Amino acid sequence: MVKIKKLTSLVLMASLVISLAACGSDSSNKDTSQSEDPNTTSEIADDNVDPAFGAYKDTVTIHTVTSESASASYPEGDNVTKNEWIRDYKEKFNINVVTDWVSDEYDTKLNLAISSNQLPDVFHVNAAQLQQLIDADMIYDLTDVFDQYASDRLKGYMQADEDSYKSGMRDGRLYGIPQMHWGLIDQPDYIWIRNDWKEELELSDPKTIDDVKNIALKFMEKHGGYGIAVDQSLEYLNLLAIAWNAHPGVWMKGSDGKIVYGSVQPEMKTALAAYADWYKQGIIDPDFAVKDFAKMNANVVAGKVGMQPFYQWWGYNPGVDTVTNQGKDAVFYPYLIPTADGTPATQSIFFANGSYTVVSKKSKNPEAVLKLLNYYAYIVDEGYGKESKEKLSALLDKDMAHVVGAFRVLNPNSDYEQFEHVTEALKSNDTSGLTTSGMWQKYNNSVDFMKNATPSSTGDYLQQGSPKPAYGLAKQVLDNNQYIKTALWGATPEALINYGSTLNDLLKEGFTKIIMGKESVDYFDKLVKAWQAAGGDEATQAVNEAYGG
Amino acid sequence: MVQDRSLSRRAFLVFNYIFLLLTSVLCILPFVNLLAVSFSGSAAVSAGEVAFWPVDFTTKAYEFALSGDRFITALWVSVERVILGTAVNLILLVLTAYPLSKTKSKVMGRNLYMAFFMITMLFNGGLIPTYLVVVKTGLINSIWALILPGALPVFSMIILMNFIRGLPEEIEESAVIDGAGPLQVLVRILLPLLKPALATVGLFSIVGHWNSWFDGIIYMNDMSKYPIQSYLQTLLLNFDEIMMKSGTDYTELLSKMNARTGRAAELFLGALPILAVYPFLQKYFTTGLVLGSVKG
Repeated sequence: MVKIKKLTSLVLMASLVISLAACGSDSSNKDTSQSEDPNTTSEIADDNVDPAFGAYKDTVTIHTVTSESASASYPEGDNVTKNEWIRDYKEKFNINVVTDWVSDEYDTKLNLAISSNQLPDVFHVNAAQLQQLIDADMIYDLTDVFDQYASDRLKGYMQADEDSYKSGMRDGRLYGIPQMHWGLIDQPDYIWIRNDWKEELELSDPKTIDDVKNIALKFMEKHGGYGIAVDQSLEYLNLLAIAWNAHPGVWMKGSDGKIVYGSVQPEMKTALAAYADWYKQGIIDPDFAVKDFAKMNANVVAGKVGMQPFYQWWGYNPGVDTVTNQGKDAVFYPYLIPTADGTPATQSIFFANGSYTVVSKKSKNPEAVLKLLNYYAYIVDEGYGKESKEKLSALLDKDMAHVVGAFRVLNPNSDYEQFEHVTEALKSNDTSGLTTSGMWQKYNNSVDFMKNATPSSTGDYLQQGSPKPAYGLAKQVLDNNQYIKTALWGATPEALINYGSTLNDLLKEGFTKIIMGKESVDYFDKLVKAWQAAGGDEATQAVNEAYGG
Repeated sequence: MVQDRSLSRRAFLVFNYIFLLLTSVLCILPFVNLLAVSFSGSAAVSAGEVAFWPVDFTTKAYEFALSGDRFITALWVSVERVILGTAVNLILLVLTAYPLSKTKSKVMGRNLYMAFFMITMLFNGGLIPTYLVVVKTGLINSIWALILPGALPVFSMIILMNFIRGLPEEIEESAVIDGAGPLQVLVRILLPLLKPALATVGLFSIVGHWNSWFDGIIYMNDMSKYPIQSYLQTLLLNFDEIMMKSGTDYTELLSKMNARTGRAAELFLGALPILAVYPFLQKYFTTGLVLGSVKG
């Protein structure tokens, strides 16, 4: 056993040095892990009355590691290792949480801890680290513990996003509890259009992608300059690609059932042809190829351009600065990106779960973390009304909700529910439905923007409180299933990690040439061949092996 | 030197000065821009209106960077590190450069030692083995983890060694004839002569210790032990992300600063102390570098 462990850690170390990617699995370890589990679990079982929330008789100490949330502000004397949450863990569950280290370069530091075999009991990892740790047999199989100790609410979170839940499993066994996300509602993309310009010219909402083009042309006629602000990464321009049914960056099921890469599909060629045409007409910023994110936004903030393909958070950046500079009427409103024939485009949805909570194999109380996760979910979702205002404020406000590192699982429906409650309250002026501090913040800031035009409230207003809220459109997309999900729902295969950035640069360079007219649109076919030869085929095969069928 | 007062000479001088002036302005302007950005309002910076003078003057970015006692703590760690680190560097440098400056016949195994040091200059163990060594030697989470792994900068040692070789051998010989041992020669004769060279390599060490941030991040378990550059590195890491997180109320701060102004303030704060030290060591810096290089 010792030998195997040493060997595994050696293998793991080597793989970390080379690529930080998953190493070859040592299947001989699997059996030992399974046989250890039942004993340990049953030992603890009779220690408690209520498995989900009951306290331990004897103090249980668990070690963890965390990163520091720079935005949280603690009361005097507290910090990320000593705060209201940590005290509650001790008081309510008799669990003593000790933080071994704190670092904002968390992944680097954790990789070092993994390779030097100095793992804490409970910690959070990314998808690649999860695979490594399972391969190296360093983390606990949490399947039984989860069934026994997770609260119904926590189990509900997992059901709400089964895809993420399954990404924490290997061969049907649960190793990493996904920490989840605010919800898919934050993923759809929009074309943002400056409202006072649009009203001044009495333009109607864009129904087809040609309307988008025509609005841009009208803006240019009236205000000069170019029509649409995008940057050199093509990230923002490519949000529009769904208008031609192209899904750049998405690994999607092709017609033959195999997974293919969206950026090299024929639909992308159509989109590029349209971009090239727009560029020729001066609609796309002629200098986009040398503009980064900040430079792209500069002309938006300065009031020189009135359209921008963007995510739902336009209102935070560049929205806040735009309103500061140009006034309240200069806000941009989001519109769903339409297709050529007037139907709403199919949106691209990416893998949303970033991290997993895992338990070291050496931990004596693998179930302790479940109690703390239950507690987090309870406070966030049910606390309002059941706990005192002071208690909740101490645990959640001023970003205290984000300081708990591995002991956090988000409700994957939280933004969706939040939006429903906020719009309801804004409509009816009845605030009784606002049950979380997040809801109150969105509500208050939306009201604040409408009343006082406070620039810093722009983000929350445009996301949730405006007459055309981004989340309103997103809700429509989700409710009508107008999206495809990436097939890459979990760790990225090693081949893709190795070739990924080279392949992306290749495409970005080629696409830019096509858009700027330096190459004809047919250059796309040549580019795809080059992409395949440069590792694209290999990456596609790896993705199919990992996620196909 | 006889002054050449011919027209062509004067024309050359005028153009030369103009050229050098422009070059130095080119070096200074980005820094002035940085300073202006750091003192400007967020909206003006985003709109690209800030050039060399702050627009909507505000000190919010500095208040953010300096808020709490973390900045001062980190600054103190850095000062401590620079002093300790440079001292250790200099002591080891003198102790190794002196014997290695002798020929093979005078110091046994001199070439072997030289090869030993040179290898560490060309190759290193890699991140993880180095980390393991630091962990196993118990240096982790102590300031010595930042100092001991790079205790002897080999490049500086070679500069110093060549400098010693450039000194007239007779000085040392005369001391030996008067009965001085090697240690006495080193302390009484060589050290005073080495001052310019030590200032040079000392400056290398100071700047190196001041600027390095990565080792602080991987070897320190407690963020209050971070040196200033590690702290500044992490300060605004996720600033944009933080703004958008649900449940974050950053509205007041947001209206005054953004990630760009914050980063500009950081860069300026981080560079300031080194800027203050440079002028005093500069005269040694130029002479010292050239002096070592003449004789190989």
